[in-house]
Amino acid sequence: MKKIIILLCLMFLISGCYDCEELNNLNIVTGIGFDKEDDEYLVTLEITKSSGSENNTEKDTTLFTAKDEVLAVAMEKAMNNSDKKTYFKHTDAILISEDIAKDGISHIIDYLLRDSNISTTYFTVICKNANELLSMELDNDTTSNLIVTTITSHIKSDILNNIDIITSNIINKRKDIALPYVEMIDDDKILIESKAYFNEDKMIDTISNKMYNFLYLDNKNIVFDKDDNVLNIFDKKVKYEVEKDKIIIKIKGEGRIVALNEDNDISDKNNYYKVEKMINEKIEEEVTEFLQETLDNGSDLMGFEDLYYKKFRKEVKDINFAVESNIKLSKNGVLLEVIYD
Amino acid sequence: MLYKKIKDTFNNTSDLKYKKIRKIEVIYLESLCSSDKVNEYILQNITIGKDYLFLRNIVSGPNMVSIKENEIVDYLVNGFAIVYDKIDIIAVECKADLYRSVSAPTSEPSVNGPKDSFNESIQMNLGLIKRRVRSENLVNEDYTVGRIGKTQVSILYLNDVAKDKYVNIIRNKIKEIDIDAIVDSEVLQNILEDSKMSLPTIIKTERPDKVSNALFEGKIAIIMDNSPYALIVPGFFVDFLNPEGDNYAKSINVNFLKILRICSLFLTIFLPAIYISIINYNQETIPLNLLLSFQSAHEGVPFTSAIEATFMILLCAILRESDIRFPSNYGSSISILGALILGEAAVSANIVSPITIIIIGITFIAGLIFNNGNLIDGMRYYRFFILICAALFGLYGLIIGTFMILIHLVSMKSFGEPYLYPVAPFDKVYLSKTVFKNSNVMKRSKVLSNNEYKVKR
Repeated sequence: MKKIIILLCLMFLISGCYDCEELNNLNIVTGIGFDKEDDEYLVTLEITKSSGSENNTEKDTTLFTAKDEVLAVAMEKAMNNSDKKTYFKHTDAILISEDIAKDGISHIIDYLLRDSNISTTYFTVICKNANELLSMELDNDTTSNLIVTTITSHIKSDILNNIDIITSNIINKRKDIALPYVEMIDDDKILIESKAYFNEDKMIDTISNKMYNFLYLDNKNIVFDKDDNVLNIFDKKVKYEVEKDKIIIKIKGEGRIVALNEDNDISDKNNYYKVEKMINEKIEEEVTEFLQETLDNGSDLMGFEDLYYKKFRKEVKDINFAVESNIKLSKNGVLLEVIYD
Repeated sequence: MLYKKIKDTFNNTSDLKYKKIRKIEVIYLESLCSSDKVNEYILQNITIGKDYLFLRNIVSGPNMVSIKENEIVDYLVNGFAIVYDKIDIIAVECKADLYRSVSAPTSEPSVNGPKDSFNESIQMNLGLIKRRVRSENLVNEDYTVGRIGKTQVSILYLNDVAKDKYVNIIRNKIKEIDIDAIVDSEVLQNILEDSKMSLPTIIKTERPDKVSNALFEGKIAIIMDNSPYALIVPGFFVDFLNPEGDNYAKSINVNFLKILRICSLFLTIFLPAIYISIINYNQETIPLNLLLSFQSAHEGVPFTSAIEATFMILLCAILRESDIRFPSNYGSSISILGALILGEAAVSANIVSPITIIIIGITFIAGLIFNNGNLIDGMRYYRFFILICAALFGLYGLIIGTFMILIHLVSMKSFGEPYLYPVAPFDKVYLSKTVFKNSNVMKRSKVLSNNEYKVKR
């Protein structure tokens, strides 16, 4: 019995409290920014704190910055700004500057993957200058005055913005990625309306969010318009059919008429189908335009090469694609005529 | 001279009364006998009565026996009056009612169900039970326990329902008791129970309806003189969680409460440990906003959260103890003081953080759902043990501690049966009477009775 008690005490005394960290000793990092300045990495850590008294739980941030030629050393330097432990498990966003992105982001992704202390649930975004963005003071009428919180609340629905997917797409040479691009407006507002698209790990250019969301994110409602006819597309599905000579993108779904051109009287059946056809043509045109532009720049966002390879086990030489849109107008509660002249 | 002899035996006690009318002598203890009864049964009769052949023909009374000389002291201390002449010695029961009347249960109050409770008289308690169990099969075996105290203890069971196994165990244990006196059934409980366990294995109740329900299930009740609490044997862990009032409500509504009670049991044991392990080791499990408010609440508190929690648990235990022990007239001042110290001053003095107070508050309030004092006190050990495990090893320690507690509980026995019955080993019948309620089950549990069916099949 004595031996067991001694053993138990030893167990508690020797191995106890490993990895224990009091809350007060934590610097909770919510965002990490990577910039390049004079061939050196500039790392910015956004530390979030709850400031004020019990009733006023406003969040407050401080920035830790450090510079070094080597990324990992710069990170270490930034962490050493405070004697508290830097805590990365609640990191929500990684901001990478355009300069770095254009040179390639793979070594940053590699660093983030390698470090087991950093969470894996953050969003990765591209911006002009990460340090400037993080030190920006937002206009207070937004939901939060914190940069990272605002960014993440904007891109919450982007299921593809996940470190695993990004990594696998970078490793996979036949598929490319697009990451949200954050713009600063008037020093106190941010705008996330475009995507930075990549060829392998190098950023090429930015392109509007709309078509990317339309093709990738099933749950997003997208609005299309043609000749004052506006359609809200919902419940859509995008399918790919791979054939020997081309890849067909089939879009299926339903659209609700939001606005109608006064000339179109859809109580007439022919007119009804005309509107439907018109919108489908418009969608086909826009999708083709979007894909062609990215393909011409060397970015295969849809992974055509990958699809082709998976089907035929052969590299595709020349990518040909066709878009077939089959959006049906929703008849539920539709107003057949416009009420103005 | 018989009287002189008895007087010497009692060391000249002042309440030993002696009367001699004609040739008949009467002795009784004034403090135990009712003078009205002595007057009515004995004195009136022997003064009026003329010539008689046998003493027992002129003395009346509901309970009278002829006794021998050496039994006189026993009968005297039990409230009998001794009447004797040259031929006969007769003991006549003239007990005074030294008991309060039947009142509402105080420690197990319930909205539904009967409102009577036991008092200190074993006869009255027996009556309260027999009124509910009107069966010739209800057996009460009486024993006198205690060398000096000589308390009457009675084992009650239904002959055709209860298992002999349990009756024998209890019978033997009670026979073996060699003690000066048993003052309350709590003392008896401690003797009958395995003293190694912190959790109770005997149900203690002041409700006659609970006792009769247990008898119908095949359990055995023990009542004793001078104690308003009856003991029910065997008791399993689940028996202590739910109050008797559950039996008088709709089962579908009661089941919600029963689940709530199980949740409270979980909370009262594990909540401080979960809090400590998450706050010290696995901060990533808390949403960021909550973590930030925890952090700001902790700001300025010099102690680690484990010490804080231990401090608060001790403080709450002290407060609870003082609330129970202190006369109720002063009770309000205790609660005001407690609320002030715990709620306001400790926080503003930065001794504890408000989050810890919330956590410990929930822990204690959840524990107050159970009215069995032994259960609450027993759970305290588990709470501390798991708190230490969690403080040293985080969530890992919490899991290890939980397993150790489970192993401990599973290995416990209540009168030869597993303590966690009916969960492990599983028994649907008893489960539907304790953990959940299902009025459709018309059977008795196999563990408690050989007579399984409650209705004729």
